[in-house]
Amino acid sequence: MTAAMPSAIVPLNLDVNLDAFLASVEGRAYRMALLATRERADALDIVQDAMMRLVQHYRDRTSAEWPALFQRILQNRILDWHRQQQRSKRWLVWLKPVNEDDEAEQALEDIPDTREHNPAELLARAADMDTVLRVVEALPIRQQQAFLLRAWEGLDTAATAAAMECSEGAVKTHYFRALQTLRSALQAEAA
Amino acid sequence: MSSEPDDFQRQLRQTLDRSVEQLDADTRADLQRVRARALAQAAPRNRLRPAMAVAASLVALVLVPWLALREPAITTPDLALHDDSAYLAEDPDMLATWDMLDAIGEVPDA
Repeated sequence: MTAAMPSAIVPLNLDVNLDAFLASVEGRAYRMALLATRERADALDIVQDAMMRLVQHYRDRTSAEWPALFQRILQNRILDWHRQQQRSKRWLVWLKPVNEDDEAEQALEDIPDTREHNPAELLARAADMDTVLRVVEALPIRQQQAFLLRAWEGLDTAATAAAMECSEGAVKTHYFRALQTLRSALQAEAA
Repeated sequence: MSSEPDDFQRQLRQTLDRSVEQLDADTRADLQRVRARALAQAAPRNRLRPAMAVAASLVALVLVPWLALREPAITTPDLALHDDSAYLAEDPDMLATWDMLDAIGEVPDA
């Protein structure tokens, strides 16, 4: 039966769509949050908060807008968590404040090129799940976000910049540095 | 041109995908709970909205005719009350009572 749906059912359909959308992104969102926090409970909290904010504020937007909105909320929440941790650490050990974007200012020429290493070995290491997760986890937070959004989520530079709320130039630098760091780290693991 | 960077990124992507596919049952259950909680939070607002609209319509349906048909609470003050002669002229019974009081000499002072 393909009879026209009464309009009263539309909100329920919206919930069904939103539920399907959230179900499709929850695993990756959790993995991202876990890589950033290394704490299962914190990662779940972040995912829940991101989902709630999407439902509360953007449930009436078109479903095509949800992925970008969700990523923006999620990345913001991850960064908030990271900043909160940094603040707590600073209060405890009187560390010098560090700006996450400072690392983006470093000239690209300063980054060592590791392409002379054995590509087959590198790919083999890149297939080792535990090693990859450990190496990605160790990336600075902004590099990690740029890498996951560009390489894993498949966002372009502009969409990644929107999700990370920074400039496209900063995204390019973070992403480039992340790839170089990952390459070096995986080569070092292989050696 | 070498495709090594592409292969490297593709391999990393596949490895990360695999890490999500292999999430344990407890984590999957937790994620399901988290999702249900997020959706439930929006549900009451969503489902109460039509009910509230119907309730508001019913109240309006009752209130509007009632307000329209009800007698005005404040009427125009009867100025005649302050004018004895005119008031008595309009009430023959009162006039009769007045005449009777006049006859027995009991007319109240003005």
